[in-house]
Amino acid sequence: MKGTVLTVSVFLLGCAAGWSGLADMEIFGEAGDDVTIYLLYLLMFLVGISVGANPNLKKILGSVSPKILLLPVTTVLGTLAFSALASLLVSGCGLADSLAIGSGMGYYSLSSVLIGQLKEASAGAQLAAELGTIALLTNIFREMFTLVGAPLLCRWFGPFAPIASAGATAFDVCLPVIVRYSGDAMLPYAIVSGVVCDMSVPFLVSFFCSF
Amino acid sequence: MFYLIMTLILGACAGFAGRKLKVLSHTGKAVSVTVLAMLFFLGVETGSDEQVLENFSALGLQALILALSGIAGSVVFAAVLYRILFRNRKERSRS
Repeated sequence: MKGTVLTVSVFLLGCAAGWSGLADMEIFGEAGDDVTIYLLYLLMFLVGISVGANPNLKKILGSVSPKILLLPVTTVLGTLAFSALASLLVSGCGLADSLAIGSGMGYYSLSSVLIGQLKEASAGAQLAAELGTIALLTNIFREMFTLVGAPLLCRWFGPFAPIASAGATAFDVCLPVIVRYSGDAMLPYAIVSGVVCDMSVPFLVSFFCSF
Repeated sequence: MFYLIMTLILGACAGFAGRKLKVLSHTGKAVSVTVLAMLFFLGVETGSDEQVLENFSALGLQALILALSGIAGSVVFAAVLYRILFRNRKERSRS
């Protein structure tokens, strides 16, 4: 719980700093824009070290099996099932739109652009832009909730929960928190699940946009 | 994406090479601190992006519902899967 409160407060502090202009990244030029990317690389390196130096490394690698693929499949199916239910609550978009947005799997840049493009012909420019924005926000939220909620998800629903919640971001942005809270042994699961979810995004989004 | 995975592998090699060093047992703390730093800067980016803030109120609620549904669905399905996998593994280690 302490971890969650700390993460939320740090994120909100960042929001406030950015909104008020106290933390103006423009001062640093391009390096300021890319600071999160550099941090992500640093994180990946550190996560790599913690895995490489793990005394149980052999046991972890030995546990990898084709069964691992079931995790991304259930992740996608679960997301789609509940996104379908959510279309009943959301007034702005129908069943196919909800499914298209849900199958962004946290990959907000790609899914929002795809939906904005693919829906333009069938739904008109304005509605397409709206759906694209909803897709962007939905999938940003998904990533943020996973970053912030990983400790709680892990405690309540087991070590697979943060990986499922992360969707396509399980092997990049969310990987460090997954390894931190679900344990080093979950690294292969997170990478396989993230990569498979990531690859499913363009296919599923285009499929659901065709209705 | 490719370079990220390469960085991860590079880190793993470095960690494996230096697995005897005591310093490396504190890597978990370094990860936590870096996660917090990244969250802060993600917040800065979100807070200073006017387009995101403007659209936030109009479409934010719908996005919130969809995001929570997606998370809930995947988490519930994955939790069930974990129960099944976990039970299997226990049985295997017992035999």
